[in-house]
Amino acid sequence: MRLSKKTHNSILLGVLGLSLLIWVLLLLNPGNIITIEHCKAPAMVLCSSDVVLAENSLQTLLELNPISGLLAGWGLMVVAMMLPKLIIPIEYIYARSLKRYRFRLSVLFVLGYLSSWMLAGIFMTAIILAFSYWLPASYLPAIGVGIIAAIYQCSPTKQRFLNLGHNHWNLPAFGFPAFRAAYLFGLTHGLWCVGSGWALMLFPMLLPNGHTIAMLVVTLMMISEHLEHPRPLRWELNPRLRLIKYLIAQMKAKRMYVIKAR
Amino acid sequence: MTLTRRNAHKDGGTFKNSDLLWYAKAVGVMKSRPVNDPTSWWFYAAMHGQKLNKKQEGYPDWTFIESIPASANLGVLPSATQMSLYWDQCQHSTGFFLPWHRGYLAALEYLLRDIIINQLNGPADWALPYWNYFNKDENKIPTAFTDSTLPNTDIPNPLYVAERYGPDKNGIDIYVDLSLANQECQSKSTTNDYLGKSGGFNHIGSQLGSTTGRIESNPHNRGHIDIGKYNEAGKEGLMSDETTAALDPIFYIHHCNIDRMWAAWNTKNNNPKDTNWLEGPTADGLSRYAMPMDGAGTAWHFAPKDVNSTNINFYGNVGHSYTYDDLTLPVEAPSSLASRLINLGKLMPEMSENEPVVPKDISSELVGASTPLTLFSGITETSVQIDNTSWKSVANSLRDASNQNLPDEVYLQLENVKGIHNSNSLLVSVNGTFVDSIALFGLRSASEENSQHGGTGLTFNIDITHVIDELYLSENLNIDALKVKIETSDPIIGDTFEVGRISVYRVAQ
Repeated sequence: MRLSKKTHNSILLGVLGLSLLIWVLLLLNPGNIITIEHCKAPAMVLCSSDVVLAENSLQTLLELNPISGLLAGWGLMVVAMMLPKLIIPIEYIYARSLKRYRFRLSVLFVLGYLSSWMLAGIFMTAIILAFSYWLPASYLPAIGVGIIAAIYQCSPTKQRFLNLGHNHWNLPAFGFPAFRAAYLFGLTHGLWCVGSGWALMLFPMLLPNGHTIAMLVVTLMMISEHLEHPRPLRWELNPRLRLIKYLIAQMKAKRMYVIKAR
Repeated sequence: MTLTRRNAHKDGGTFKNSDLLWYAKAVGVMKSRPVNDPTSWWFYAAMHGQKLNKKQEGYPDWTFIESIPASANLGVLPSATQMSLYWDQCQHSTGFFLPWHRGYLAALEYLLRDIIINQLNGPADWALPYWNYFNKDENKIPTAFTDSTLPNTDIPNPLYVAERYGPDKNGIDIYVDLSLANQECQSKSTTNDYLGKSGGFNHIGSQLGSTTGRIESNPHNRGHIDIGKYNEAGKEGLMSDETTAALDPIFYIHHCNIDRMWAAWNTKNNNPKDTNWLEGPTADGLSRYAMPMDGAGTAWHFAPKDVNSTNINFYGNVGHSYTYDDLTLPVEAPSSLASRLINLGKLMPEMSENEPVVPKDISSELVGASTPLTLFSGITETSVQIDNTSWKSVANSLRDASNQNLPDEVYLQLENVKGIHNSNSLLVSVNGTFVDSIALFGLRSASEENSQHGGTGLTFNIDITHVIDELYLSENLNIDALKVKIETSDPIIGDTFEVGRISVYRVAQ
């Protein structure tokens, strides 16, 4: 049982389009809608993630970086980075749901997924603020988390979470149970995603500079590793480059197709 | 030289058939080598699937398999690089099922020929035999596989394994049960129906992902579980489980027949021409398949395009061409689509030459579903609730059908079937009409959480269009539910099977 090409393309364009839009927003940051305006006062020290501290005061730090603003920025970042990863489960929901429910169930799934990441965002934001307070403008937190992330990449625990991400739910077809299941499916899918990606997500946020580029790289890594098939649990060095290999193979195939067409 | 693969039942399937005798001798040589030798029987079997370097308490962990001798030295594994490159490659429930197994057979045949010709001074035209269980009186395993010794010697027969129990579960009568096995697949004309479909990024067995081709589900899967089955103690035969199947020498003779059927099908039908199939795993960002061709582990890497025919080029100037002594197709069934339209009264018989054209972009839509279901040994009955709004589309498509406006097809889907008993079958009826029997080969592995299936089990599609057509013709299409009866062919090892959902889909064309 398969979706039509038209439906498949609609999901692809919708999801990638929305993600791209938010990426543009993150990159251009017009009127500092993503980051917070902090750099006007003198004697401020530039810290990580465009966060600026005034004389290392916690109170000033919180005043300059309201939690609500940080979480909104976090949420936008999660949507930009993670939405493309949801194409497969959204297609799964489309295929296994009544036609008139498809869109609504997909939205609920995405909301459930974002709920998990927003919950994680509270802790992540606290960690980022804490490092900004104790080690302003330092690369040490990013290096430390980078090392932890590198070790975690090779661990069976990480693989376990990646494997769980492939465990798609049996969805009830009718009524309220269908809507509840879609949200809970998104929530658990998000939890497995947080479990596998928390270290990678934290790393760019702790960089004093260049975190946008680091976010792009991390996005590619996280999408790629979720495309790999489930694997047995063991310590192993696995670069999980399937997305890059896929893109190269598809480009080659298209080039061959063009040559043949000539 | 083009080799000819011949019928294993030639000369009664005994060792008088020299193809079987040389096969036995060469298998004996391979079995004498330790598992860390890439040309050993054990290494090659592990390439299909294995339970050796994975944690498993008891059978089917290979260390619990009695027919593996101590000389296999299972305690000393190959290097991690070799295991990663070669082991656990088998492709099931995907459009790559046939090409992967063709490459696997060709590589083994190459090694066996090297042993037969260069070590044993055997015939230069030796090729793997095939077991065509559909030939009259040939559905029993050739006796060369059940003799305990080689002819006129006390040497144990390398083709015999004790862990082969047969449909009667007695370890004596080993045969393919033709009341359930058939070659209807040979009349399928679309590649997705016949070969199955690869799933891209969706993991194997998921609904959106790869699908099982008809030739894989029947006779391939059915042959596996009929030969392997299980014994009184509930221990499954080697052929019943994909992680042990290739340890049994009958595996390759069974697969040779599947490959023969593919070659026969190719006499009238073409393989897919799209790059994603031809390039196989590389198009999806995975590595090409790899087969070791000598003791040093020299690899032959291949994709489906390299085994698109029976003329194979391994690498450099090393080629391998073969054919079969029988490439006949069973009597061709009439076009099922035209027949259907005639049956529905939507096409005059004299117009049946105007073959309806199937559009390329077909889509499926859920029109009914059950709640989760537990299957017990014997019969389980349930009803699948139909969604009235969606069902109207099916009714309308039947009402307005013509050869320009094709009616919907309707499928019953058993989703996320999980359990540990591979060698069982589900006999499925809808509204009292038997619709299909499903062999559960591969179920145990697919249900394991950290397997390539991600623990989602297996999903099966059953065409129930003819049942719906009958409801339409008897003016009983206005329904709220379909009654589904599922009967297990055998008592269930592990007591139950879990079914995530039974669904009904319309496929609009």
